[in-house]
Amino acid sequence: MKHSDNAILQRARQFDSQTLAWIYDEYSSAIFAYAYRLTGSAYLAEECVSETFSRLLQALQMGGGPESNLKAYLYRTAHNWITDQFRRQTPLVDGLDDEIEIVADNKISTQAFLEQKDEKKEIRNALRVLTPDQRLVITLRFLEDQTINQVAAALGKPNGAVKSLQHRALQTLKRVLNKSIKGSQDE
Amino acid sequence: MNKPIDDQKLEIEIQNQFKVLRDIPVRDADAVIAGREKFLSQAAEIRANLPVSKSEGSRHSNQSRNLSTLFGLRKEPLPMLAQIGLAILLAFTLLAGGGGATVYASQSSQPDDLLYPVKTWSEDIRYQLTNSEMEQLQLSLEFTERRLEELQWMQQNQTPAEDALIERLQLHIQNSLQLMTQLQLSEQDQLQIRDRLRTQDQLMEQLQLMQGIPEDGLLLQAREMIKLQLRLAGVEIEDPVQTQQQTQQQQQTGQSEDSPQNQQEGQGPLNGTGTGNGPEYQNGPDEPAGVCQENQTDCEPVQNQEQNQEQNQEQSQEQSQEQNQEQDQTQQQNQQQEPGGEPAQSSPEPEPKGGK
Repeated sequence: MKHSDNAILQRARQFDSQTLAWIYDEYSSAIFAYAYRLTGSAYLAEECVSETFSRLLQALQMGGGPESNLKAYLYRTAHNWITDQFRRQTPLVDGLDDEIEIVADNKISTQAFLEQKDEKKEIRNALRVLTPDQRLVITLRFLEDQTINQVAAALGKPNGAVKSLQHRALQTLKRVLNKSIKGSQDE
Repeated sequence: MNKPIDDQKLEIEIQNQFKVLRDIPVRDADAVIAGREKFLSQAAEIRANLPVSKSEGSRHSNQSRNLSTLFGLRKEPLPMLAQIGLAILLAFTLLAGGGGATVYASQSSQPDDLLYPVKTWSEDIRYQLTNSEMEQLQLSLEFTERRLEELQWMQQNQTPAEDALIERLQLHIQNSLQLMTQLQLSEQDQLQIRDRLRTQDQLMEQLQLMQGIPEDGLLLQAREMIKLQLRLAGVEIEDPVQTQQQTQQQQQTGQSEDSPQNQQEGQGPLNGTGTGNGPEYQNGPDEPAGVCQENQTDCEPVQNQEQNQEQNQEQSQEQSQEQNQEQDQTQQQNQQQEPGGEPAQSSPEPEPKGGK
């Protein structure tokens, strides 16, 4: 797997159009899903995809870019872009149209839709309380179903550090989510 | 023994809660095609401008380096100073070999471990041996993060935090605070420092979120110091949850312009910090200390703040000079108008000539 990644990257460094098209087709959907889950907006998710792939080209042009794990690199770049968005205090778009589309597909009631919407908002807010590294670990592990090894590759850290980040992040999430549940019950 | 089971339970619990985020809408086909074309045309543009010569890394180098070039076996011997330095380094490494292993092992120790004093001692030595103030600043920031992580670990294990640990945390913060005000930081350093400070603030916030922990005065003091550092670095301190609530309120009152297009204007990735093109060049964990976003109206980097203060002082001096001149003129006019009368009332305060 790593070997083939290396071969692809070698051709990508020569800006071979077929290879680059393959890279886009192969990974853009995963990056879109990752960005959508964190931002809740299809528009921002498309922006994230566009910026992530543009940054890849810029890095390759400068002689940088990934050395082996391309997918991990793309996740990390997308993650950085999203972290920038969070830090700029841009209010998260309330992706209502996107949510309605999902509801229509799943055929759930209006009340259930509203409850789910609140729940999503709470989880996204809880994720914003985490440090950038913790957030990347949690989203890759629990939303993208990646293994500790894969997350370690994306973060460029040893497995032990990833486990420790995950442990701390889970504790924080538990507290934040419990608090918000208690808060909504009190109201 | 129960801890891994608790962790597993928590993992399952969080995984279940996160299920609602799994659904994603179908991607707009037009957007996909447009994005793909944009990417490929950008690539074509770069390919057209590629240099003819190979990159430096793949060029053949006449000078091959191997072990024989060390220890004086090379054709051009090392300069004398480098040779002496190499000898000292070798001797030091041989002498400190055993101790080095202990110090290395101590780096992952926690405050209640036997090796913890070795860890703090090695940190002190590292700090003392560092000549560059910039490196000292980096070390102080690193040690601050370590202390915060240790405090988190202690709270999670329900071990009371010792005052000595928090005092040490305060010392690191104080050191970095002092160095930050002294140093003229480059833009890249500022970016990095700002990012680390934000992480520290978040770790602090997580510490305070812990339940059943009595509020510690020293800890609160440390948090205030981190906040001060953040302000010095020009970071606007806000609670993300609170911010979102505020923006939602604004949206309800119809004040905000919440279309994605409006949000993106002037804030898009290209208009922002702009230097990030991948993890190596991140804006990424990437955001700058002392460098403000274009749209951040109430954020000022440290150096700008100082410049502004100087400018303000100069302005106020100029203003007071002008006021004095005006007062003199009115006095003269009054005296001319009332040649025999009493002089016009002067201001009760003594006149600061020159305003300095």
